[in-house]
Formats: sequence, structure tokens, C-alpha cells
Amino acid sequence: MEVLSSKGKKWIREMPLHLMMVPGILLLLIFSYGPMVGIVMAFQRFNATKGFFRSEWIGLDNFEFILQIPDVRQVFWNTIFIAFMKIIASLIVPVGLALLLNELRAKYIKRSIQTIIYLPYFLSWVLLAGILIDILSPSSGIVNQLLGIFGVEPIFFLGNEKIFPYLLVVTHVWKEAGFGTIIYLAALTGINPTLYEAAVVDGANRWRQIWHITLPGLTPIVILMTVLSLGGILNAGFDQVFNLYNPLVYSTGDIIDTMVYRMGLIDNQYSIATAVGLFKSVVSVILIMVSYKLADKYAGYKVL
Amino acid sequence: MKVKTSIGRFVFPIFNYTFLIAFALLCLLPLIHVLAISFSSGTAAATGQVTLRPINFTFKAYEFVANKPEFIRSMIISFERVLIGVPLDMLLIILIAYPLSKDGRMLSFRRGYVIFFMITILFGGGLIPWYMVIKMTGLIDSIFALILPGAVSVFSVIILLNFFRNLPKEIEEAAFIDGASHWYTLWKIYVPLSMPAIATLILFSCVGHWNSWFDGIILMNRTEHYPLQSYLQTVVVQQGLIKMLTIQDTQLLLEVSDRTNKAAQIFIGALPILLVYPFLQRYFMSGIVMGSVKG
Amino acid sequence: MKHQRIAKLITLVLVASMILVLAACSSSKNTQQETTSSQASDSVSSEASANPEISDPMAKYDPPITITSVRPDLGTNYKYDADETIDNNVWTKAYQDNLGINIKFNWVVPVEQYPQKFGVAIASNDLPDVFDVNMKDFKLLIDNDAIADLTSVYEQYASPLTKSVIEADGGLVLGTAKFNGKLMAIPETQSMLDNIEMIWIRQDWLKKLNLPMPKTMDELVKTAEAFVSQDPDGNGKADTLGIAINKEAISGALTGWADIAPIFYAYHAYPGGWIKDASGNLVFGTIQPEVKTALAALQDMYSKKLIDREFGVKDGTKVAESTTAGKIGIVFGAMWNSLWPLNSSKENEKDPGDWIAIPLVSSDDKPVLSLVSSPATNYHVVNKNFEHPEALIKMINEWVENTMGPNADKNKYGTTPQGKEVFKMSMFRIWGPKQNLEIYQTVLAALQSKDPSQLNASDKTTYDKVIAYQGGDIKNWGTAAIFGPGGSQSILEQVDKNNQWIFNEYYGAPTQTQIDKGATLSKIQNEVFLKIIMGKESIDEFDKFVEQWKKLGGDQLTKEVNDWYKSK
Repeated sequence: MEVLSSKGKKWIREMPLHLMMVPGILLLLIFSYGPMVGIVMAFQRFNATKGFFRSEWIGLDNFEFILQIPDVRQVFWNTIFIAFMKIIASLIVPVGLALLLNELRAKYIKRSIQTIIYLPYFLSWVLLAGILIDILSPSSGIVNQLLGIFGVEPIFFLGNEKIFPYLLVVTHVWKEAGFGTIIYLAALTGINPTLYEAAVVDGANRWRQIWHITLPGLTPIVILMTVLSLGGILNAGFDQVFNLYNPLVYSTGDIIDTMVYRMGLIDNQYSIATAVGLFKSVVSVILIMVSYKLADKYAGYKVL
Repeated sequence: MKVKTSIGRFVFPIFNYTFLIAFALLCLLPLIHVLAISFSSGTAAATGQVTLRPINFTFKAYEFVANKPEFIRSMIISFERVLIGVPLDMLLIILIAYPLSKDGRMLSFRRGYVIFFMITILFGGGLIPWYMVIKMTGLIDSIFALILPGAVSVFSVIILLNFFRNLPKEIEEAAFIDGASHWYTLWKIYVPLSMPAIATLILFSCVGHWNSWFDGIILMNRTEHYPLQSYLQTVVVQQGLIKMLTIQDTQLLLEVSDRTNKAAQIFIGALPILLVYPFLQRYFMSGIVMGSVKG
Repeated sequence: MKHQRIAKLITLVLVASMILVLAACSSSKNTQQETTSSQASDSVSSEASANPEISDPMAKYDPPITITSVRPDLGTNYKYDADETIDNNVWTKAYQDNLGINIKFNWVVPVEQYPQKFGVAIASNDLPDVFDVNMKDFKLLIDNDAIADLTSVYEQYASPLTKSVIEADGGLVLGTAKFNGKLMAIPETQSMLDNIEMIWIRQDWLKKLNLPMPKTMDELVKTAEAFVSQDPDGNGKADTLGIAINKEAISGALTGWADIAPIFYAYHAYPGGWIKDASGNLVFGTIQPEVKTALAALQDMYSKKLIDREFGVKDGTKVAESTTAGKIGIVFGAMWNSLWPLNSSKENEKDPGDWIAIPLVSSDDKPVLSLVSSPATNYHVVNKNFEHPEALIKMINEWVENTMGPNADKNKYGTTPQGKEVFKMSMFRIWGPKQNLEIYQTVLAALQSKDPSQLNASDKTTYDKVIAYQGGDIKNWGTAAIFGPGGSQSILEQVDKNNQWIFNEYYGAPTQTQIDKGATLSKIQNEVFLKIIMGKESIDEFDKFVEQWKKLGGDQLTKEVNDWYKSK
């Protein structure tokens, strides 16, 4: 009896918590779980007139089709390589920028810089690609003119298959890093100022304060962002690559999404696209689970 | 030792200011370029002469935009979308993040919920089933088709629940002892204490609503119902020359290829969202929140 | 224990979502059945009344029927009259008054967004009664068994005039809409000539450097050399770029602006086309030895800097920028290039480019031929479930009647005297095979006789523009350079007279191998072509490419294409 009533009490106390989530859960059931029925397309030769339930079932043929594309391995490798470097750079650079910004004492300069570095995020890749082609041009681009002063021969950045992946990473950081700092700046506000005061009393300089207070304070959010971004290991940025690549850099710059896009141009292959999507999802699940466990084990931090 | 530190104290800020200002300038360049083009004459822009300063300064492109009712109409739709969408997003995010920030002892089935939410960011059925579901709900061609399907951002929920979790437990416990309900604790304690995080998520939500264009194109049935960024896609996207054009099509190409009008529309289209950040910045003032609690 | 509970919860949630979706599915299916059944009963009654007049291609529906469709809008340039909308205009009124057809558009979106919106509509089986598709979607709809066989309604309902316009080319284009002998669409027939390209060259540079008009490939190369090395713009800098090529055109595909294909044609190579060989079989143009010769020539030209160094990176818009900026003197493109983008070069006060169209050149004494593919990019189709497939044919008859028939009112239904292109309100259009050439000839005759009184409104507009340009109004140069004396249509007139073209014999839908392997095959082609031209690979890589192409599905593709050709 005693046990039951305490259990009942627990339920009554908990009830509001469950109720709070109902609206969100309903929306997700309709708009996220509903469309998941469409995952069956990955195992079908989808025919719109017949729909999801009467289209021809072909088992794993769609996956086999993807795997037999002659350069699929290269494309997968390119994707992972580019995406992985982007993930690393998108962690280090914004955290670094947030730390540097945090050290600025002049409030207005700090605010202005924060706002300015956030601007490129709002320009599309179509537009930025146009600008990049101009400034990286070997004949008239400003970058090569600057290099020319130091006696460097003009470099055809966009046509060089060795440079191209790194160019993608650098330009990605240029566009997104400022926006990425926002979340770390918000996290910095959560660090208790009394800790700094205590450190000053103990005679710690700025470096020590950053090392012993600021960085540990940011660790949870950094781990969180790492775990979440690892889920995107197979998304190397379609818009960016599509607007910048060309046949000269196919060997290092072609990624899964651009390959699927080129295939889609010839036919509306929704089954194939779904199969690719499902494959990506499975890889994401594995990576997120592994990184979640690692974070828990080594940093003692549960993301969820 | 002492000398070294003082040099460090002196040198580091200089390096820091120089580096950040240089990076900021680098980030400012593309926008200045767009602005310069929008204020230049058509010929100057078409010949690619314009870099960072307008050539043959003119307001013509802005007059063009001002005389375009479609532009203004779609901008109003975008404002509507943000004004309805962002508060709804935030409400849903907060209502989910609060329960999930409790540990398993205070919330039964917590793991089940977590898995339920995680699956939605990991798996998707793709474009077609998504469209079919929205069509079944009868939302097609209404503004709620742009708002409801993406209203629950699980990514934001995860960020917020992590912030909630790191709030000092003592305040909450004190509130419960005083007989406060969950509802009261959430709105009177959790939300005010998490304003930096919530401001961040408001920004993400605003940006998301303002910038998304693809859903408008797929879900709206008339150009008049497009939000601004869907409408601007027509302007921004390069007219693919892959298709053979007829004489009749060249008129279209002419309009699309006018770079000054393009630039003006891109700039005006981005302006409102650029202004949101400075406005929210006051919530990022380091230390204020936690300090006031502790004090 | 705990795990079981979670598992239970998940199952519960999944079942709930399934039920939700299934319920939604079945409810929509029900309504669908209801509508089709109501449609069916409607049609029974209307068929009864329509039967007696079945032989009259213009018969009016009584009671009127409603047809659903979808369409792109007219762009923001189109200035609507006060009471004119896309749902209510001279064309919708003509359908209502003359045919008893009310047309209702389920959606109307910008041209640029149309393909995406339409792709979703196809895949979710959300199709209207009558609509337009491109070749790719056309094939998909046939595969999905979603559109109606129009063979008999075309025979029965197409007016003699309609048939004469559609089949003016001997039924070539109509043939592209036939699958297994069934006519599955009415193609929007168009001028085949207008896709043939020419050389646009800067006359002022030729004059300045005292060069003749190039008539052979050798002369063209020499001209390009002079343009690059002799500073034709006189600014003292070596900043001119030679021939411009846009990055989408590397494979030899025709994009209409800054293409590379005409250089291949000069060496009698036809990449991308299916050509008849000596034994009567179709072979793929891209892998023929002539292509190797052309690539070698291109490699040589690139090494001499006669081709823009960065051509692999620049798209059409970027090339247009360099052209307007006065960096380019030779470019291959379609007859409309003077309307875009060369007009900007002409209007550039700092360095106005005096462009003129000249015929393509050959590398030897054999005449240069252009590869011509089916010019139809648009197919008018009818939903399989629609009860009145003949309504499409009637609307096409109406188009022909109003724009080309003996009583046609072109000023009302075509282009108004104010220059408003009202014809765009009609979706179901077809054109004569030499439409623009005929305009040129009519306008030229009027110009020579100085008597425009016989011209209709749209031809008169063209006439006025040419006159205005001759009077010094540079804004009208774009039109004058096409339809004026010596304009780009005069080049096409010669091409037409001398039959200087070779037909791409394969005009069917993509074959299975094309669908499966097409992207891979064109990827390796683009890569190899670009690297050879830029000198990163030796010309002998071409032979390896041919082997690779055959192995990776090319042989299979050739077989499929020939099977299709023989069964035709």
C-alpha cells in the first residue's frame, strides 16, 4: 500500500512533465514519423501511380546499384574527408573566435566584430562562388596578385585537385564560423564570474584563467556539438561543392550529394535517393552512438 | 618572469585586436561587394568592374525593387511566418527541453522519450513522403504548411536541455519546497535564468524561418504566396543555359541577368535578419545572469 | 525490465504513427475514388451529348467541362491589364466561348521553380488533367503508366491545319512522342534551325587589326591568335582571352551560348550525337576518331592561349561578364546571342563591341555540318484518368486557328501592338518549323520595299526595331542583329538552303543503361576532355577513354540504341 501510494504520488507529480511534451510529440508523429513510411522506397522500384504499398519490391537492389557505380569508393572517401575536416574546423575555429572575442575589453568593438563575422552566413553559395572565382582567378584574382608580390607563380586554386578539398574547408569556415561562435558565446555567459574573481585572488594570469576556468566551462557544449555534428559525416555541403567544382577536381571534389544530383538529372530516381538517405542515416546513428558512449566514458558527460 | 608576463599582457591584446579586425574585414568583403554592385550602373556591373566601390553611383536598382509589389508582398509573408513561427517554435522547444532536463528518477520513460526524439533527427523519409503527409493534412498553400512541419527543432531542444541541466539545482529545490509547481518553476526560474541560451535559439529559429526557401517552393501553389527567400530564388539561382532557349525566353534571361537589381534584392532580403542579432546581443553579456543569482 | 518498457513504448509510438498515416492514406484514397466515380458519371452524360458531333474538331462542349492543369507563370516582366489574370484572359475566354472548356490551374509558380514543384507532383501522383512535361518526365510518366494514348484522338480531332503544322517536318518531331507505336503526347514543335549555332565575332577588332573575315578553321585560329597577341582593345595590356567556353559545354553539349561543339563540327566530329555509320548502324559521336583530331586541335589552341585559361571554371554568366568587359572577341552561340548577352557589350560605352554573326567554318574542304537534335523540349500530355483526352487536341486546334489560321487575329492572341506577349497565356502551343526564318524573310522584304503596311503587329514591332536601330538607337541592336539585313537569321537561311546539318538519329527517351550509367559516362567524358584540352593529359588518353567508356556500359548503350533504331 505504502509503495503504491508513493508510486501514485510520483505519477501525479510527474504528469505535468509528460503533458508538456504532448504537443511536440504529436507534431513529430505527423510530420517526422509520418513521412518515414517512405523509407520503404529504398527497397522498391518506386512507381508513383502504384504508391508505397504496391510498387515492385526489389530488396537490396538499390543499394547494390549504388555500390556498383565505378567511382563510388572515391566519392565516399571524398565526402568523408571533406566533411571530417569541416567538422574539426567548425569546432576549433568558432571556439577559438569565441575565446578571443571574450578577451576583448572594448565593448563596442567586441559587439561590432561579433556582428560582422556573422554576416557571410547570410549570403548564398551561388553568390559567394561568383566572388571566389574572381578573387582566386590565376590571371586577375587578387589572391594570386598578392602571392605574385612574393614571387609565387599564379595558382589555379579551383582547378587544382590537391588544393580543392582544403579550399572547400577554408571557405566553409569563412562563411559559417562567425555564426558558429554564437552558441559558444552564449555558453561563456554561463560561467560563474566568481570563479574568475577567486582565480585573480589566487594570482592566476589570463592564460591560466582561460585554461582552468573558461575552457572547462565550454567543454560540455563542445562535446555536445561534436557528437551532434558527427552525425553529418556524410554531408559535405552540396550547395558549396556544386557551385565551385568542375571536371578538373572531380577526383577529389565530387561528393555523394553531387553524384546523386547528377544521376537525378537524367531521371527522377527517388528510390535511389531514398536508399542513399537511409545509408547516411545508418552511418549517422552509428557515429552518434559511438561518440555518445565515448563522451560518457572518457569525459563523464551524458549529452542526452 | 615578471617582465615576460607584462610583455604578454601588452602584446596579446594587440595581436588579438589585429587578428579579429582582420578576420572581420574578410567577412565584410562579400557584403560590401554586393552593396557596391547594387549602387552601380548596369553596364559597370555587367562588365565585372565593380569590386568594393560603386561605379557610376545610382539608386536605380532600389527604385526597381521599390516598384516591385511582388517583392514587398513576399516580404510581408516572411514577416508573418517569423512572427507566428518563432514564438511557436520556442514554446514547443521549452516545453520539451524542461521535462527532458530532469533525470530518469524524476521522469519515467525518459530514455524512451530521448530515443523518440533522436530518431526524428536521424531518419527521414525524403521529399516525396514528406510532401504527401503535408498534403493529407490539408495545409498545402497555407502559411501553416511552412510553420507546423518544422516547428519542433530537436537540435534546439538538446541544446536547451543541456543549459537547463547545468542550472544550479538548489534554486529549483528551494522552489519545490515552497510548493511551486513545475509550470511555475519552468517559467519563473528556468526560462529567465537561461536567457542567453534562449536568445541563441530564438536567433536560430528566426534565421531558419527567414532563410528557408525550399519548403515555400514545394508547398505553395501560387507565386503570390511565396515567402521572400522562395521568391528570391528566382532571382538568385542562375538561369541554367543547359536548356536551349528560344527568342521568347531571352526576355526572361535579360531580367534575370541584371546584376544590380539582383544585388539590391539580395541585400534588402537579408537586412531584417542581419538586424536581429545586434538586437539580441544584450542577452550575451557575460556573467550578468549567473552573477545576479549568486549575489 | 527497463529495456522492455522502452521497447514497449517505442512499439506503441510506432504503431500509433502507422495508424495515423494509414488512416490518412485510406481517407485520401476514398475521396479519390469518389471524385473519379463522379467524374465518370459526368463523362457519361457529356459523352452522350458529344457523340453526334465527334467528327467536328472544334465542337463545343455543352454543358461546359472543367479541366485542371498546372503551369509556370509569365515572369515579372509581363504587365497584366486591369482585368487580366492568369486564370482569366483572352485565351481562357477563347476556350470558354469557343470550346466550352473552363481551365483551372491547381498551381502556378515561376518558371525557375516549375521543375521542382512538378517533380514532386509526379512522384506523389498528384497530376492534373492536361499538362506540359519535358522529355525526361515524359518517359517517367509512360513508365508509370500515368498518361493517355493520344493516337486515335489526334487522328480524329486534329484539324487539317494543325496536322499540317505539326507534321511540316515530315513527322520527325511527332515521332519523338511515339512509344511502341502509340502517340503519347503532342510535342511543342519548334524551329529546328534556331538551335544551329554560328560564330559571333567582333568586327571592330577585325578592322582594327586589318584582318579578313575568317572562312576556314585555320583562318579562325589565326584571327584568335591576333586577338590575343595584338592587343585589339588597344589598352596596352595583354588581357584579351581568345575564345570563351562555358563550363557546361565541355562535353560538346549545346547550351546556346559560349559552346565548344562548333569546333568539333569543324573537324566533322559530333560528340553527344548518334550518327549513322557506313553499315547503317548508329554509333556514338563522342568516341569517333574525328573527336580525337578535334581534341588535339583544341589542345594546341589552349597551349597557345587561344582559349580562356579558366574555361573549366566559368559558367555562362561568368563568360558573359568577360565578354561584356571586352576581353573576348570570338564566341560560338545561337542566333539570339545578340539579345543576351552581346547587347551589353554593344552598350558598354567604354568599349562598345561591334558583334556580327558569321557562318561556322570547316577545317578542310568538306562543308561544316551542325548536329541537330529534336527541337521539342516540351510535350503536351493528358492524364490517363481524364475523360476528355480530345480536349487537348481541341485547345491546340484553337491555338493554330487563332495564331496561324486564315482568320487568325495575331494582334489579339499573339503579340499585341504594345508588344505584350499574350500568346504565352496559352499553354498548348505548337510552332512552324521555320517560324523565325519566315519572320526574317517577311521583315526583310518590307525593309527592302520600305512598305510595312502588310505586316502583322508582331512583325511590325520587329520591323520598327530594325528601323530604329538603323536610325541610331543602340537599344534595338539585339533585334536588328537577328532579323535585320545580314542578321543571324540570314546565316540560318543559308544553312537551311544548303542542308548543312546532320540529324541526331536517336531521339527516344533515355534507355535503361543511360539512366543507370549515364551520369558516370558523362563524368569520365568531361574529365578526360577537359584534361586533354588543358594539356594535363596527353591526347592518347582519348583512346583509353574510349575503351573505358565501352566497358563501363557504352557497348550496352550502343546496343540498346540500335535496337530502338531498328524497331522504329
